[in-house]
Amino acid sequence: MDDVLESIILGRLDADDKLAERTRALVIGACHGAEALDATLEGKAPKPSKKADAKAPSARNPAYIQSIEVQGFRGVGPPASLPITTGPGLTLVVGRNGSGKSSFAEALELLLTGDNSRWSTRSAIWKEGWRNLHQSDARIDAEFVVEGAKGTTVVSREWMPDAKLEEADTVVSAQGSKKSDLETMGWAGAVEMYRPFLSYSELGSMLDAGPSALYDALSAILGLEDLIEAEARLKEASKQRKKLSDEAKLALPPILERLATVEDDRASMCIEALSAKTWDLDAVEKAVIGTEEADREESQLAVLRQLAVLEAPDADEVKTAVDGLQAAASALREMGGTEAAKARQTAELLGAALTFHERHGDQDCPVCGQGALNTEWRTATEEEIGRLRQQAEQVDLAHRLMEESMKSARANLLPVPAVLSSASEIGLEVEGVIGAWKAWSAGASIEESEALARHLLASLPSVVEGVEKLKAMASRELQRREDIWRPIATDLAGWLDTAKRARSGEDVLKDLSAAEKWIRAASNDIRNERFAPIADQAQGVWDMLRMQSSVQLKKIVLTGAGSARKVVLDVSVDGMEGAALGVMSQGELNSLALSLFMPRATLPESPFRFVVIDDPVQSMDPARVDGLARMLEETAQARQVIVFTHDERLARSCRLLGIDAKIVEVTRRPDSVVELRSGQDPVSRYCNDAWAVAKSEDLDPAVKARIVGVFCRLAMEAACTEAVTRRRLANGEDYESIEALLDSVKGLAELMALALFDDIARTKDLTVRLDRGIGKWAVAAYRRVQEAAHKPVSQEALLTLVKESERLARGLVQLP
Amino acid sequence: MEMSRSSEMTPAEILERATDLLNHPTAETAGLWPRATAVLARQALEVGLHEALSGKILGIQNAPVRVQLLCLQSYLEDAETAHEVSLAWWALSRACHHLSYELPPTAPELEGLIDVVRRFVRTL
Repeated sequence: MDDVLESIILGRLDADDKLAERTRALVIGACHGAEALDATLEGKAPKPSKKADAKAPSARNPAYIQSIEVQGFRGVGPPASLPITTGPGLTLVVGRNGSGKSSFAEALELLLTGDNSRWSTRSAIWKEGWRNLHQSDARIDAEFVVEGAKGTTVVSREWMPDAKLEEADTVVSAQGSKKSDLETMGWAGAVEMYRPFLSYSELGSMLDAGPSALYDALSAILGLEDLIEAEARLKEASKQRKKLSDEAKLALPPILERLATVEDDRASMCIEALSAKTWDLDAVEKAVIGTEEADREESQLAVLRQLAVLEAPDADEVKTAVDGLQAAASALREMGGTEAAKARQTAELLGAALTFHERHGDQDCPVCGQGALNTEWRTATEEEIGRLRQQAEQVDLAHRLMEESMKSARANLLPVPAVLSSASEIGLEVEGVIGAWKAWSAGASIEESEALARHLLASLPSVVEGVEKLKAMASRELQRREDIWRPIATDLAGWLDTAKRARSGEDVLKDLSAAEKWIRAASNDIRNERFAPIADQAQGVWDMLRMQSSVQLKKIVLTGAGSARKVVLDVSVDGMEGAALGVMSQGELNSLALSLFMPRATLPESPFRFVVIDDPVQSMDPARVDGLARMLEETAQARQVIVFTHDERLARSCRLLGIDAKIVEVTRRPDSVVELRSGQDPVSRYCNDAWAVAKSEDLDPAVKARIVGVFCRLAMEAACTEAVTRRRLANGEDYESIEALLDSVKGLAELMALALFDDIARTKDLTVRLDRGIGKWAVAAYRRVQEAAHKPVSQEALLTLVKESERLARGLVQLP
Repeated sequence: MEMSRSSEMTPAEILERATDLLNHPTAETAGLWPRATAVLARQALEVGLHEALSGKILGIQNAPVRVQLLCLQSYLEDAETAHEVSLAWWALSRACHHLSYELPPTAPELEGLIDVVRRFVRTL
């Protein structure tokens, strides 16, 4: 984006405090290009855009053309150079169609526009036929005088022998600086913006191309393309996101329909998640991925999953428990009913007896009175105490073993798992297994170890069998449901991806459209500000061009946006308001187009002080040619105006209106030899041609004798035509009737009668009038010229004939 | 350059000069050659016309060219050529007169007209 526009936009952004931060960032991103916008949308800070428009200091320095030299391009074979007077002024390049004149205009345009889209849209015939058949070396050189630059600046483009049109570089060489290109010079963009090339036929078609195309072409002048592009970028970004949203929305109903057919918690969960106004995409994602936590406790899937891994009492563990019980029981049995307490108390009693004996010495047993407490007794008693204590411990151990065995045996007798009761709700046959399990767990109340062991061994098989059956059923059911779900899940996953991207797009959609709206409003304001003076100027041009046209151009406004953008040309015909372009003739339309595009080509900001107009006189009535001449004259006050034209109407208008115009005549010989010579008024031109023939050293005298007379006669004809036209125009007659009158004239005599007497019939009075009014020589010259057109002139009379003819012609042209 | 009595040139000779003028650019003839070529081609045509008719109609040489062209159409066996010659003469004549804004013919146009005259002259 150019600096001026960017600073305007930034200024407006600063002044707008209601704008959301992201909208603001999007506006700036869009202004900096597609990449920057993408970065902004991804939440990254856009890379600072490089300033492509860093202009050379000379970019705005006024430039005038000095010459255009063309070789091997289009109609021009050997090198031919079109010189143009540098500085403001009007140059008319006159030549028949096919004379090669337009090749100069096209060459200049190609040179400055390079590989512009204009050329790429040209027909294949044009693109392949751009080379001149008679010259294999192709090049274009244009010399410019750029204010502030030394000497001339030459822009050249040279093609290799087999190169295509686009396969050549345009090189800029300026005195005292390195060779560069148009880009560096700052002209590439300027050419696009101001287009100092106005091809009349193309201009006319601009009006036919539809209101949007005209709008674009006109608003292009205003240098708002960058804004328009920024707007388009935002629009595109919105469009892509909306498209994604629509895709997600559009794809949803069939998915919901399918989900509804599936008996699966995940399906119903997804339906619930997607029926809400805002989709719960996280829930859907969990269902799709199938994470455990997605299953709600009570869900059938959860039950099925639990059932599938349900553990029956472990047969090995049960066996270990039974073994334990049996071992404990046999240990107790071995103790043979020994009571540990009695053994321990006996040991304590004997211990007390030992203590007694220790303190009181040997004596009879105080308890039974029969035995004796002595050393022998003592030794035996100490042994007895050890045995008793050991016995008591063994009994304790056996009891503890039994307790442990009972505990671990009962540990196997778990209550019926809760999940089994949920299983019946799914429709699985579980009564058997529940019954078996209940019976199994009822064993917890058995107190007797042998009975418990028997219970364990007896009840286990039916529980294990029931559980295994149930697990298999649950797995099968899970698999069945999974087989139905998986394809749906796959589809859902695909949809989910779109939906997620749509979701993230929707988040910025509001900001995107706000940014788009903001830029559009800004464009409109800036456009109208910038276009107002151009519209005024266009109306001014039209007022000059329209001449006798009853069509009045009242207002030009650029309105609308997007596909509804258009140029409103408020036109009135014969004072009737609101007329359509349809009422205008092709000539009027072309003039209107020229009015619209002339201002942009001559904007003060443009470095190009020249404007090239190709063939504006087509389908113009003569009065409008006068208008054109006046408009060109005015433009030429400050600009170098170069007009290529295929006949002499514009030159004649300039001549008759006293408009100063340099004329270059272009003729093209066989083999594409293009000749240029500076043109003159017709009388001078014919006289000079006559002199050139008469004095020629190259021409065969026989040829001279045959052709010189015709040039003399042409000079007289031109003089009379000029005098008649001027006089009648001054009397208010229009070109059409004057031309009709001149067309009806037969021969020089009638023409001269018209010039001298304003009466075509008075041919008989000619000689008398010439004799008395001018002199005898004039009569002689007139007679010789009459004959000379058909008869060779003698060598001796040649120079005299030319001299007298010129004198007579110059006299005639000044007739009042 | 060979000096020749111009009035005695044959139509073919005159036509050859016209072709020379067209095909050999010189600085002196730049810009004026289109009309000059037309003048010579027209004279070749007129001299040819004279030759074609002079033995057949008494006093025809004094009749206006328009009349001679009409006569040619009745005397020339090839009516199409006669018609072409007539058209060529009118076209060449336009180039020999000043018309308010028309430019002289282009090289291809002149080549076409010269072709017609050449074919006519060969029938003589």
